[in-house]
Amino acid sequence: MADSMCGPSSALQNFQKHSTIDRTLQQDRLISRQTPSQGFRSSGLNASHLDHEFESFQAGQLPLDHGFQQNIFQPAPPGMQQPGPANWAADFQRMNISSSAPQLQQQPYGMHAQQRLDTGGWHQDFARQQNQMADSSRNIQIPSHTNTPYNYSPMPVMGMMNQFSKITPQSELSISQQKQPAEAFDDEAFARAFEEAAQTEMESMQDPTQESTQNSTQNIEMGQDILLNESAEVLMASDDLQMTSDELLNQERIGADTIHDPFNQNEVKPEHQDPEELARTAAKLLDSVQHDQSVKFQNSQFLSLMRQFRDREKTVEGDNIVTKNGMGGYQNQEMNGERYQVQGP
Amino acid sequence: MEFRTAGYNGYAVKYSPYFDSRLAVVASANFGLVGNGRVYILGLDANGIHAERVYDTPDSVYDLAWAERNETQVIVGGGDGSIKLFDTKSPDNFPVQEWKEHNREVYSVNYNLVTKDSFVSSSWDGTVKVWDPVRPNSLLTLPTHSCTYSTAFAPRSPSIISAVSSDSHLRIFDLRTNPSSANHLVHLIPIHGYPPMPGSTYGPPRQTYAPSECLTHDWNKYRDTVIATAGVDQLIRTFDIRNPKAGPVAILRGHDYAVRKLSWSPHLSDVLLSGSYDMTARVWSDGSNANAPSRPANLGPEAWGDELGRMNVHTEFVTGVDWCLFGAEGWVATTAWDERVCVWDVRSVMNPANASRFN
Repeated sequence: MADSMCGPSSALQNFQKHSTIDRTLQQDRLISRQTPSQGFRSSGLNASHLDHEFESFQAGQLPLDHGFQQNIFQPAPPGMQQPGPANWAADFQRMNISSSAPQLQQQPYGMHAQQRLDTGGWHQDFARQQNQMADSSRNIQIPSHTNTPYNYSPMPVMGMMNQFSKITPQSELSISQQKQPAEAFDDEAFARAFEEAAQTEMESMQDPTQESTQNSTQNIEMGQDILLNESAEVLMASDDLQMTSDELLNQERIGADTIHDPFNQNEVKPEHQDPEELARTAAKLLDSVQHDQSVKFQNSQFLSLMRQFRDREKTVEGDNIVTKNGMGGYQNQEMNGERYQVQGP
Repeated sequence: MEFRTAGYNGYAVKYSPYFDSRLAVVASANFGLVGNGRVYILGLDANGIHAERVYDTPDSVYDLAWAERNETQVIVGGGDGSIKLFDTKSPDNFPVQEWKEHNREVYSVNYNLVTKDSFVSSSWDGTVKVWDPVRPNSLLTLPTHSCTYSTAFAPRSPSIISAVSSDSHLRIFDLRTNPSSANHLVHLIPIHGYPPMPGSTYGPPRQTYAPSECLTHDWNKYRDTVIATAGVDQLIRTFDIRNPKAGPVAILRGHDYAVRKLSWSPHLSDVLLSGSYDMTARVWSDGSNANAPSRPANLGPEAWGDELGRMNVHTEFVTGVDWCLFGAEGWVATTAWDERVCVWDVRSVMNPANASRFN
């Protein structure tokens, strides 16, 4: 920030800062460990135990070749010196192989990070993870984002929609994260195994739309950017506020921004309100809460209104919510005395 | 105590900073989907709650703020992008001032608590605007490029503004900085967490979350660098802007659906109240008070904080929560889409040990 105050900051300048940064403290900490792998979650005390489990896992389930095994459990030389700044990207990659990959799979389910420490059996964890993901995805069949432009003050509905659908992006994320290690190692057998796992997962997700597929591809790409050599670029960007906020503009839009993107001010407001759109939105919202059997949700007037929207019993006309008759025509609301809301002064 | 905003679904409630017996509520017809809105000025007395003034608006209204300088004035932000100033001294039922600059729904308005001469508004059009109530145009426009659900002035500084938006970021603007290309932006904090830092060997691995819309935030009234945020991912997080890169200090997990509104207690520095789409209002401690048992830091932010109590009366989404500044320390008001405004004591939903902390 100080830079941007004092004058123009250049990417080169920032990079220079990173390469000349004083890393002595980090080195100290690294050297003072007995084994360099101590700081990694997946080794340490359980290392020998894990080795055994990994072997059984390997024998029992996945035809992995030995190149991969070597990569994971190759012990770094004791008393390893921190390599110079030029090598840090490679260093990161090495570290990532042994610790980050399994840990990334845990991330969407924060609660289970602790369990992992107790059991130490990462393949069990993986299996459990798959089950959980299958569970959560069974409930959610809606895409994470809607790009439906529509013209009611859509905040409550759309806000709700996105709020309830939040599980979907998470499972997408975990799919992509599971794929990451496979792609990072370029190990065919490993990739195949993961693909199988992902396949079963995808099958339980009944209706993955094109959009969500696209999203997960995007996530994979994003993940790799961070994982691989371009991390230097990312690091620089995250240090520079201006660059970050510019980058944000290119970030995938979520929630309300997918309906109306404030950055795109030239967007034409649709004058015509599509009643089908409203019904669809209401249906999605109801889908996302249908697992909730609590009395409150069953009796909610808002949700029953959404049900009526979905079933096309009611729709929005101008500034009013009106009831349709069974034939799909409109009744005169005032004659019926059913007018939902009289427009105020 | 209870008041029915019949025909209108509540969106926000605020206690008057001048009187302990006066509340303002904004509510919208048809859950704010279409139709008009209504502003209620409510009085509390021994007989319950009664409406002192009712103002109708041609479009939904989503948020309000009491003027800090004038005890009769209320500012309201609405669905048509307008901001209206109502004065209860005015004999008729029309706003005494109206500003129309936002292109989309105005989701929050908040007063400057220090100089008391300006207020800030945020809108779906991706801007935050600073206003002086005596001027016809806004003083300043701060772009966020994202639907901004909530914005506020820092309680101890007249020139620091915070905003949270749909892009899952918390922004801090400092109006004292040069109006450069950064538009006064000094911090841009990803609420879901920073991406993993390459090469970082510091500390326990940080947990990351998927980005999700942030719907509400509030400044702590005692620790003036602490902000709580909450939104679609159901988690309440606290941040200390002295170390914006450190990620959340505490994460409070418990709501079953998105959190719509939260408010720090004006009496206890660690207590906050939240209202959620799970139809509950909950009272939390963020675990920062001296009495809380100290916990090992390596457990991560999720280990901090506790739910102290849960209010289950509302039958629709809880959208507005506020603490009473006066009298007993536990009094709060909540409003919800069930057309009700409830005034209650948080001690009534707590165990006695926690309740005894409130005077």
